[in-house]
Amino acid sequence: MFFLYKMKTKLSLNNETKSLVGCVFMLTTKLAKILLLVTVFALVLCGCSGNKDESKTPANDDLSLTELTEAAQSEPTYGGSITVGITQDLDGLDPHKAISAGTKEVLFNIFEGLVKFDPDGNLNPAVAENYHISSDGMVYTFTLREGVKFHDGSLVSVEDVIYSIKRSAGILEPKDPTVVVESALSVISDVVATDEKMVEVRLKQVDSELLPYLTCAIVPKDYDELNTKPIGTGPFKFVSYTPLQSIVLEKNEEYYLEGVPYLDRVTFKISSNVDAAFMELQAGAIDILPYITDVHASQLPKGYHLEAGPMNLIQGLFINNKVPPFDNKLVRQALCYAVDRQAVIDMVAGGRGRVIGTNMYPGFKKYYDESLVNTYPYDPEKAKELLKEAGHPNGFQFTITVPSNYQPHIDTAQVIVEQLKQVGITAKIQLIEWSSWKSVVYKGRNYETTIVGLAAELAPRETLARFRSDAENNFMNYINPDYDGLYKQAEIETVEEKKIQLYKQMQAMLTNDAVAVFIQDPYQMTAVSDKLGGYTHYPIYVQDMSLVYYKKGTNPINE
Amino acid sequence: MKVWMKYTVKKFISLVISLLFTSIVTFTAFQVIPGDGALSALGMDATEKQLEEYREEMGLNKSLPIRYINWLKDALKGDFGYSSQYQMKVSALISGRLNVTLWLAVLSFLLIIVVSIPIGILSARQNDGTLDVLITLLTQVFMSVPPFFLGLLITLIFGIILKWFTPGNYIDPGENFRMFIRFMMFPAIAVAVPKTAMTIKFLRSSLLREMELDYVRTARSKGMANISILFRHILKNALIPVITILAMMLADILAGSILVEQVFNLPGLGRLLVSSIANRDYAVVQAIVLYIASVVIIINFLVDLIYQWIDPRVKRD
Repeated sequence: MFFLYKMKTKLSLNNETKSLVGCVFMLTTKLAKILLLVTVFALVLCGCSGNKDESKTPANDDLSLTELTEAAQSEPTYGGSITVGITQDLDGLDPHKAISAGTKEVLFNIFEGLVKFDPDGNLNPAVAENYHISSDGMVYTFTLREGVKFHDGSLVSVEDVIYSIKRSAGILEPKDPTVVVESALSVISDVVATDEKMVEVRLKQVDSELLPYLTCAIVPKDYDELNTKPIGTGPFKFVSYTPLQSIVLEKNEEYYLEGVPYLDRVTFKISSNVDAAFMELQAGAIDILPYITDVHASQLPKGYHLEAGPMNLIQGLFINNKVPPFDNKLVRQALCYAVDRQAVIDMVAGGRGRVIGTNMYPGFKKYYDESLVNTYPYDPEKAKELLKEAGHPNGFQFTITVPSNYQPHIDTAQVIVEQLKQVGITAKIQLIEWSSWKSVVYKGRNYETTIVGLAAELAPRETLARFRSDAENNFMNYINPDYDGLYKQAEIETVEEKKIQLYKQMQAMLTNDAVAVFIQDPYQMTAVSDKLGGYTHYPIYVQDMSLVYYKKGTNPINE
Repeated sequence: MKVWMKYTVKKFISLVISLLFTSIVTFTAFQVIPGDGALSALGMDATEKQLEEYREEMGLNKSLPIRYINWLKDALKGDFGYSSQYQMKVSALISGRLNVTLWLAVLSFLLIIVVSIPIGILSARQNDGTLDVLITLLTQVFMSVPPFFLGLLITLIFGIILKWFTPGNYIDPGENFRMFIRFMMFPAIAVAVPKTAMTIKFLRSSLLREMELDYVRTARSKGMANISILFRHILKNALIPVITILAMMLADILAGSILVEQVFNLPGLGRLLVSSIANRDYAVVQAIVLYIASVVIIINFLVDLIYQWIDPRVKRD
């Protein structure tokens, strides 16, 4: 799947504020003077509070390592309720129908699959107690955990599991076309119960990377109110949801894991944009606010600290490999040499991000080829040479199409435009609304270049799948039969070592062909109240509230 | 009475025609802009086959006129369809948000009237006095401040520094009505201030224009006190253009103050409209646009009636 860091629908209010204020200033000079006074007054007020905050939280800048250890030291307490700010409304409560990352990361607290991710990206048994993969790799057998209950008190049966997996894989009769089927699950041919506790997932063809997708939610069979009253097996129960306002969860007292969750109640409060949410945080109405920007991070009020971790996202300048002059590999390579990726990270995110060189997240440690970062060092001279060789000694012009709803991508585009000027290339930024981007750029492939982030896939192979010549989501129009061959080999490879080797070969191919200018894996920054501990970053989009607790002495309930 | 009936019927027919026209325009506009409802619902990596099945299920693959007629048939029965983004009934979705927008409208409109009429009169009576100059100056300033900017300032000063309210902490009226009103006062002020300033300016100049007229001199020469001339004659005449302005403002506020709702994080219609457009949630957009169109048309109709009530000469025209 594919997202702007997260698919956010936010008005970039900041910008509008600036430009509109600008217009007002031009109206009349008398008026301008008065407005200037008002603005100066406002700025002074901002400035005052800003300075105060900075002096009190000097640790803001060197990420949160020290604070993490501090948090680990403090003793957890049970009870209490918190408010988490989210800046995107939910797109439904049915876990098999939601597509936005912003929804999934909330639903993670309500629903669980047969297996479940832990903070290190490992898969732990959840609704299933253990699993076994047959030697030919065609059958996955799961044994259900004893006594797992849905939030309505009923026990999870094999029937529920069969129903849930079939529904997720789109093989349930009658079929519901509004269910979103992960392509990875389409390899499932059938799900059957072998006894009261065992479920077999049978495949059409060998797939060694199916397991991460079996994190898909287990829901009660034939329950038709998932949309309004979702029922799952997760650490929190659903209480209420009001569009544009909030979703409220409460502790699942019968959760099968001992000791979690700590909190009694979690309210995810929906804000129209991150600026509005940050104001609420400044007023103390929000305890945890993920996805804050660099600017916010430097203005954290007293009583909050910053937690940061990799987003597992590939931000890049993605190129339509079919459109001239980008159909020439030399031109694409020239672009790679002409972009100073570290400078982009420094300017756009205050250095918080990790340079990448290919289409794989550093989070997939085993599979990721770190050495590819050095394939294209920043070298404007080399870029000019390549351009000359490609027949563009005086550079050329092109357009970068950027979705208008996420500022970091726009900022990145602006930095890149400046960098490309150094080698004589003139790039023009064209902003496009997100829905249009999806149909025009992603589906229609009607663009020259674009800057977005490719979001975390659950398995490494999925991140490479889009570059197959005939892949429906091959929006970069990368055509390479050798790559297709390698991919086919990797798909059926069951020996881990060989698979890793194939994946690395494919990554190298993408880098050497300069499919795109891969820039960075950005960091996501979260403001967390100092009273809370246990906030944990996951390698996937998840806001796991089951691990969050009030530190001893700060819990409003215990005092 | 007969004239009155005829007038109402005429207005009603024009309301229906306008709504029909509006719905056709919105419907068509939504087909013209890029973006795909099926893509929004199933995600970008949905296959063509899945998208096709979705369109089939939702009736999105039928021809434009047929889809419009289907929609119209349901809409006439009061069924505005299903929100693809929220996966709930459009009517339920909108009625919840409408509440917020209506309260905001009522509060800010009351503020506008309560503040602007006395100040406008005061300003006109003191024509060119120090107070009048000051009022004129201030109205100039406040007229030019965009409401959302004012909203940001209000949040900063009253929310974060003075802590008179918690920014973004909207409370449902059913939960705690006093807290609800207390919170809503601030966005209402942000909406009301520029409009109040505009009304004051308008009322002032309208009053001054009337004061010059012959009937005022006549009244004065027959010995009527200034204050009763003002309230019994001038004000009534001066209000007519002001009512037009107020009506336009009311329609504007009722349509949802998109930016103020964003700044104060109000779960109102404006925010819903923005997010539905972004998600190509056609059914919701169509319903909100129709609501806005109805508000504008109905308010215009009411204004006509008020004119007649204030000035019976209007009816004869």
